[in-house]
Amino acid sequence: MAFTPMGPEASFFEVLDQHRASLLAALRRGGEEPAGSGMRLASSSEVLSSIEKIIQDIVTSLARNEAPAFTIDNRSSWENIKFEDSVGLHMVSHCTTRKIKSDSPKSVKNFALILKIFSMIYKLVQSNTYATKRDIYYTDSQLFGNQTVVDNIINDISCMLKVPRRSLHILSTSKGLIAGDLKYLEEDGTKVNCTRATAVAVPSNIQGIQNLITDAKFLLIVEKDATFQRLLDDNFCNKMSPCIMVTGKGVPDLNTRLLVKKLWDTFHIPVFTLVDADPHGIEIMCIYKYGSMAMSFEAHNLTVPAIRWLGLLPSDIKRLNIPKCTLIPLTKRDQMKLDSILKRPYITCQPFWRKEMEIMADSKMKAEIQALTFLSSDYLSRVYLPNKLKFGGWI
Amino acid sequence: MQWFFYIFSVIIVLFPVVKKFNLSVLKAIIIPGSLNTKPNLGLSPTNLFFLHTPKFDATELPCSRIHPVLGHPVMLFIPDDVVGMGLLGELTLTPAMALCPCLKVFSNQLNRPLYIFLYGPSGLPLMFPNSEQPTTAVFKDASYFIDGKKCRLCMVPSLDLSLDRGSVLPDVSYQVESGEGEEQSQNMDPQGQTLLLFLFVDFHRRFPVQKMELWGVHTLLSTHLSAILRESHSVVQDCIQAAVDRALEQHHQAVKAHQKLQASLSVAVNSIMSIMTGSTNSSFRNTCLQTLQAADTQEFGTKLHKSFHEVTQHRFLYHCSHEVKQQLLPEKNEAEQNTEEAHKNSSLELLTGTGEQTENKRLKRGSQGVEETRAFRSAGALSPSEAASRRAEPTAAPLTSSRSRTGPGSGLEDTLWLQEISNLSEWLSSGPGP
Repeated sequence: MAFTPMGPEASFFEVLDQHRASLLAALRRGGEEPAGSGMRLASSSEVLSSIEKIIQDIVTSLARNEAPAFTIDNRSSWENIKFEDSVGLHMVSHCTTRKIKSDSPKSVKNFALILKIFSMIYKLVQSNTYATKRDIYYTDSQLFGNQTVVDNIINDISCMLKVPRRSLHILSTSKGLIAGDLKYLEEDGTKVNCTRATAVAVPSNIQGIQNLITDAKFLLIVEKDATFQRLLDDNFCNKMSPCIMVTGKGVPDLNTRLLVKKLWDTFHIPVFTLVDADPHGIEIMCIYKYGSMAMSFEAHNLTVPAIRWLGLLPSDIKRLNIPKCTLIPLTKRDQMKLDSILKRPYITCQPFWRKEMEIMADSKMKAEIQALTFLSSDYLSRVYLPNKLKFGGWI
Repeated sequence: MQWFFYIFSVIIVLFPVVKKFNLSVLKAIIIPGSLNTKPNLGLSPTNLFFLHTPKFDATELPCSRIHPVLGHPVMLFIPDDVVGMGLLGELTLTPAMALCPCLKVFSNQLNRPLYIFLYGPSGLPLMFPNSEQPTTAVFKDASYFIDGKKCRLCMVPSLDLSLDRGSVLPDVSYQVESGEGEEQSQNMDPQGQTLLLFLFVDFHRRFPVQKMELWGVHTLLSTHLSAILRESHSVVQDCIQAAVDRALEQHHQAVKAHQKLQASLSVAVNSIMSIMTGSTNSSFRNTCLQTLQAADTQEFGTKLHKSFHEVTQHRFLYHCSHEVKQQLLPEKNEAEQNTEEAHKNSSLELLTGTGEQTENKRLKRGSQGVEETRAFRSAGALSPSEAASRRAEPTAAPLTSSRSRTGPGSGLEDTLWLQEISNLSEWLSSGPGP
């Protein structure tokens, strides 16, 4: 018989339950997201046809003695990105484009590399096999130069064909971990139980997982692996049972983001983030909540606007009397990042976030979650998080 | 003798169309006999870029121009004894360096000859045939041209010019060799680049220089230039080396760009071929074959590569002409804009001019250019930029077009040449020039 962890009393989750009720009410008010608003998984034959169409266009251009070019949505421009509270950052329907020309000395290499990756995707889809971005890079690392080149081209292709990366048969290497009250069935039939003492790797095929079961009252996203492991060591998932913990080990990969989105879409339980009280931590939290510019074309599948900032809040530093010696001065880069976040469109609808960031800017200091250990080694799991969850200390 | 001089002078400007000469590289024309009062149509830094090299078959020559890098003019110090001979004024030296054939097309090693041509204030070569060559003695010192340590090139004086019969010898000739050992020379392209260095000595004075005086200066320079250059050794060396450095830098950049293009096209073609040959969609495969009018996959691959090469080469040519424009026109002013416009027109013709209308324009502009060159050039009165503005309509540019349909042996060029000879005869028969 499986061990069922004993969590706190039911009254502990009163505020959480109220929060969940308000989220559900907001969802009902806003209406369920219409089906198909995001990118849908395309069939293999659709992907193959799309690639063939692109090749035909190139050959036709050449036959007309015109230099072929790829027209790609300009993903790296804020003018093409719209913010909606219910979705996060997503691309506008008619966005500006850029051309990757075959007859320009500046872009001819990129043009060739896009074709190269197209040919690899074509083979993967044909043979119904999958490869990671890293696999693709290592097929000819000298040609590609670095992994970022491959990553960008894959995103461009995904954006060009309007299909998610999974449909291109390209997988991301999962680095995320999951733990807590969650069971599911992977695409190949493998049963996964995350309630065990050790964390489970986030699966590489999120779309393929099914039969998700949980009683969790909340999902906690932890920025750093070190904090995640510390919470596991402190038996946090059992003490706060039932709950789920996820870490993307820093900037989250696609699968971790897809998983968080899937859990939200399936269970609609409150999702909280525990990040460092520094601009980098806020940035990571924003990626989970509102998405990134680079992946804005797939925002509907990735963002969870219901996410709340649980900690570590800059105001907590003063409130908890965390000694100044444990704080770190903001670097120039930190300040630039903070200024940049403050200017983003979504901050206008987050007055409490703005206030916290202004506290950080005024104090010119940042703090890592580990600063709490100065108060006590298990202060985070024993006092800080339970109090926050019990009394609604999120924003 | 006068008309003979004039014909040769015209040849200097128009020789790109005189295919009968079968020039192997850029050829300077040595004027036989003494200089006289006939109009001077010699070379200057500003009309240099209208020349090209008809050695290669135009079907293999997407760009048949030379693109000289114009150096900054420097003032030469005139020794007292030369001043005493009547050289009362200022002398400037302007280097212009070009690689031939066009680098953007033939990007390869530099184990090739360096030919140096000296031009005097009249725009004519400073040398006379069958005479001693004291003028160029100073250039036996290779350090004038290349800083061997910096460029990793070495220069060996060369006597074997290997020029076609009928070609005129350059004033100085070197063999430039890469200092990087045997490995590179083994990969040497048979159509390697020839380096052409033009040195223009110009004469300036506060008051306009009379033509007779100009010829006097020219004669004086042909015997004393070596001494003058020695006196200004340092500045001459610096300005020539700077021009050579810039040309070589362009060469290296062109090599890189060319290699990058070739490698990229290869990847693109292979990728398309991989999709095409791996496809099980017969409709897709047939459409591709039909579009390129290929009978089979192998022919499709060949045509694909050829098409890619052609469309991208077109673009590289545009870059090529654009760069020349920038080199010759470092500063923006009205006159230079005129030149830019003219050059733009000529570039466009070179790239796209295949229609009847374009041909008419060529004829017209070619004729205009000759009209302009008929005017006397008051040597020393024009700076290179001023001269550029006056020669805004390219004299030979419209004639340099290597028309893709007909090649270099086209009737148009024959017609043009005959027309110029005819104009010349009319002009000569009407009496002495102005």
